[in-house]
Amino acid sequence: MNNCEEFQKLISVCLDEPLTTEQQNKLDVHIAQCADCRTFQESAINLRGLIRSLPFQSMAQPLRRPSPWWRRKIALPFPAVAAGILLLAASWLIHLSPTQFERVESDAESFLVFEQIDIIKLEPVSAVKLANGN
Amino acid sequence: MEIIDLQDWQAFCHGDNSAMERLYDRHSPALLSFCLYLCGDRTKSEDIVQDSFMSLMAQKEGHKITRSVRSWLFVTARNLVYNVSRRISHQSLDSLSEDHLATNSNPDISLIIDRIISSLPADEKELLLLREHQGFSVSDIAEMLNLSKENVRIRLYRIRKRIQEKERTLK
Ligand SMILES: [Zn+2]
Repeated sequence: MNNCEEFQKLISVCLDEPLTTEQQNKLDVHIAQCADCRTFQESAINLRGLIRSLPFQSMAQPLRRPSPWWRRKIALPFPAVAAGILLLAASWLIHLSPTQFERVESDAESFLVFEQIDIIKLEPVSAVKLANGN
Repeated sequence: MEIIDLQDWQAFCHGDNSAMERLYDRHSPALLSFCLYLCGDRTKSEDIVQDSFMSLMAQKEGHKITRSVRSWLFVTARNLVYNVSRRISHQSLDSLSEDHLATNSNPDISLIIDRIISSLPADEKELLLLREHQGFSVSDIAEMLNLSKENVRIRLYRIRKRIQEKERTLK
């Protein structure tokens, strides 16, 4: 390993990770006699110093929490809402003049409708979408 | 730091909301600085930090974070920076805005760093900030950016070399 490019790669590595004793010794000997490599080392150390002097910024706002699900906008697709209202209206009408058979059917239907709405309410929210986006 | 982070993360998963506030206090300044120096827009950077934490909270189900919370936050934030920047075409990642310069207390230093950093392509700027400003190790960065360690070393060498050459031309 004699050329300066190889030594400068080593100078760069040496800023991030420890070198083996052998590598470090060779590098020290070379740097002692090579102005170009010394300049590169100084430049890299100087760059580090400059970037480390960049201040850390403070957030203007405290931690924002995800709002509880009942306060979130619920994005219900229009056809689902329309179908839900129609089914509810239908089951209500059936309740007004039910035969035994019809009543059982309508209960089953309205149960289904409520179950659908519950599932829709628990649809993923923006934070979850963000997480999935990674 | 990573052990305290994981302890707080576990506490949050078990219902202790103040643990998430501790994580926020511990990491939001560094995360905000990273986003700000990367994209140059303070409002956007603050939103991204908030969104990163919201996203972290959403990982509660199934306790999805098992390694470094800090790395996870930085990867999430940088992905959000790139998504935002892609959406807003006039906002270039390659130039730091006056907003950034105004928030830096020392104008001489900020000018030098602005010249240096703004001359780099986005991927190199990000790598330099992760290593030199945030102090992530080569192995951390390799894992975060999905690169080999050797690749990270070579990139860091090239960035340092290019900056040295730029300094020469600026002198
Ligand atoms: Zn040399």
